[in-house]
Amino acid sequence: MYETEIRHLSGELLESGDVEGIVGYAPGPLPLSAQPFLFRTSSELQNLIFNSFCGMNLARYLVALPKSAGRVAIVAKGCDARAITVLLKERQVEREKLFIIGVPCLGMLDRKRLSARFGELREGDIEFRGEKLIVRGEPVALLEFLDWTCARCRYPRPPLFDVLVGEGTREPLTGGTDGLLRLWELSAEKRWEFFSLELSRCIRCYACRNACPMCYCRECFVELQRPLFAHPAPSLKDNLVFHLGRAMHLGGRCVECGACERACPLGIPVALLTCALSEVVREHFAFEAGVSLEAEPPLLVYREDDPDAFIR
Amino acid sequence: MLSFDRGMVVSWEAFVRWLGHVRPFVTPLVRERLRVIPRDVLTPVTFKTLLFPPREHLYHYSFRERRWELCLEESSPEPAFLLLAPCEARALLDVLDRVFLEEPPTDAYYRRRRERLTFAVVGCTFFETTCFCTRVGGHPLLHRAEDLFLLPLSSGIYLEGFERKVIEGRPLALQDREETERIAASLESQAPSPFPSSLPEKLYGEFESREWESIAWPCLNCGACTFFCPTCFCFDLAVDGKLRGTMVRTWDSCMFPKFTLHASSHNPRGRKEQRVRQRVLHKFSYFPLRMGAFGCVGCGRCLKVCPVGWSIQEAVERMMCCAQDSLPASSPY
Amino acid sequence: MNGEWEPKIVAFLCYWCSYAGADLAGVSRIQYPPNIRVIRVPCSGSVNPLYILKALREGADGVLVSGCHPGDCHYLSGNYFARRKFFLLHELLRFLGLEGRVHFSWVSASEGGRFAQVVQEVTEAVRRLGPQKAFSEEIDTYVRDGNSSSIG
Repeated sequence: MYETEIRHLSGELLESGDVEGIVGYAPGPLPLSAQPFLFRTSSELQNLIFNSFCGMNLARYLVALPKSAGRVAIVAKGCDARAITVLLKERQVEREKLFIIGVPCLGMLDRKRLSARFGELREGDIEFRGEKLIVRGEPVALLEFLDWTCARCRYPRPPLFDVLVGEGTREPLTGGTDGLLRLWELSAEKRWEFFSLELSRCIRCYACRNACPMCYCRECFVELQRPLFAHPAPSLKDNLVFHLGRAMHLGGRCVECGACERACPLGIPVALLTCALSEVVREHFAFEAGVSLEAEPPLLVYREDDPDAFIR
Repeated sequence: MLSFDRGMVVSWEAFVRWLGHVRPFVTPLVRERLRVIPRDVLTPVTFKTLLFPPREHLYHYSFRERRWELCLEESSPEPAFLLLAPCEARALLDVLDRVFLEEPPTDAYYRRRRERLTFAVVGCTFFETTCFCTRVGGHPLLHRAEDLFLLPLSSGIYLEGFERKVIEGRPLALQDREETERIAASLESQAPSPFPSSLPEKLYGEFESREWESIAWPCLNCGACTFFCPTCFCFDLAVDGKLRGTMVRTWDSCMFPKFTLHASSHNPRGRKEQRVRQRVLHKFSYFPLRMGAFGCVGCGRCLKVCPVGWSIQEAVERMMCCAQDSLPASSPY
Repeated sequence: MNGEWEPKIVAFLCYWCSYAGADLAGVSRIQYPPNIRVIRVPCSGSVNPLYILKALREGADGVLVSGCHPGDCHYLSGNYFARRKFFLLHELLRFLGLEGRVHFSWVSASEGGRFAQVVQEVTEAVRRLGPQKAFSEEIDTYVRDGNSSSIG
């Protein structure tokens, strides 16, 4: 899916000296996995891939590039391009230093769920035919194996790009907020039961935070000791402060890519928190992060008729 | 090690019943190998959790009537029985026990938990894509003569060192022996070849190589690899409280940017590639040169949990290729 | 103390309106529950959501943040930004099933009686929920099964 186009375009960009490198995906050490990679030579480009296991948000690597670095191209799915837009708006990257290779995305697959059903999978076991998912020759329900953030994605087509390598796009598969809606339908006790269980499993490795392009603070609030907001040792009470604090810091900034949840080694559904706030922002402040370079971030503006009913 | 004369074979039903009585902790690796394990058997995030918990209270303190009062945490943990894979058993015996217990002052908190921990080794009949224990001196069937040992077979499970009154079994039938031989042979043929003994020095010789930057590039600097690693033991001490509180020991990770932040604000490993280089060199150079064994047991958990699929094995191989062309280096010690 | 649990509520009051309103309640000898601990802040907009979480972490059973009415902020727009911020925090806590411990109000400097009423209501609401454990109790959980219970 667009792999050849991306490779071809990247080759041209490198050869013309337009960019110093391409931020993209290379094959990971495990079958059907991808590893973020900075391609600097045409021979390295032989390894460039793009498939439905390229779940890491590459925009995360842009802020880490040294100031002295030259122009880079970046392979950007819809959510990656949204993240780049947020970073541009927050002036963490310069537009002139980026060449955005926009890639329309059909969604990322959950390798664990696939292996649980089909056993160890190899290259060639999985393919997309149009919008159908075929596993070892049999069509399967795409919805069952897509990451839930991808199933509800509204921006498979990058809203910002220099070149778009294809035109394929699709509507959200789950009516927008399915996974979140189901949670909202539960009672408060049931929701707390679910979240207290999941968040108590967190061991504070910060994979979620570090995978997020928007978490670029040099010193995160959890690293502070004076004042101490969340003690470094894992415990539900401190894990709550970390995850709630992080969700608040992403309020109006989260692009719902799901990289945080994919990064979690324990499979804790952390994207639920950040995406829940994205939905609140969408519904009440009519704002979606990373969709427009002009729109003002929701927490930097206000309206006279903002929600007020929760205030006595 | 590979003779199967001392043990017996037990039916899967009897084994599962025994699991129900004994209620061991089962590591995730062992869960992969023994699919019959019931869902309610606890699987700690890593077996380290039972010996070296991510949150350990060292002492409680309070400031009362103008005096500081300390109260050491002396509670004894519950006894625990653990099923470990051979790589994990090696991590426990060759690394963790040595780090915490070998030289005085030994770690009293670790010792208290270690004294109440018993374990059995569950042999592996296959290599996962992520396994490389044989490259670092391990083996999928490795266990000490005094260890309880289990090996899954098709007719049941082979047990060694278990008392008959604990669980009833039968001697090995011919087909069982043949199966163990087939397993051993298959493992031999698939076993990744050991790293050369010159690896620790060769790697150290590559300390200044520019290659580390590109090796380190995808790393997110989270702590997933270190927290799941059976041999990682770094910790931090952080007080929880002010005038009254607890001294807490928690897991720390050399991958965190502030891990080596000095009080002077100098940070010798402020850059990502410095931290990644240190992790590789610690496990494959410094630790073996000092302690005589690799600081990595080849279990592959780091690769499984890494969000970007970073492989320490690949990193070592890449640096070995660089080292081929360089002059031999002197040891750092 | 007679040993019965009383809710501890941390109240962030903006200096120009709510704190003055609380002062007026005091001067007017209006009775209100003694369960709040007041922290005076320059503006409701200066209250970082992390302060609220920290108060809970340190054992507060409830938190109240009170500021000037919209349009009356001494710093012109601080409370407008606060309103958006706190709406997000409120929805986030509600999403987790932790509603009812963190409250917000607009109380002006002349509303001594109203301040007392707000404190009364918030204290009762928190009292009904019982002692707060989510953010302050030590729970030894990491020995649990590492498998996920994702909602899929």
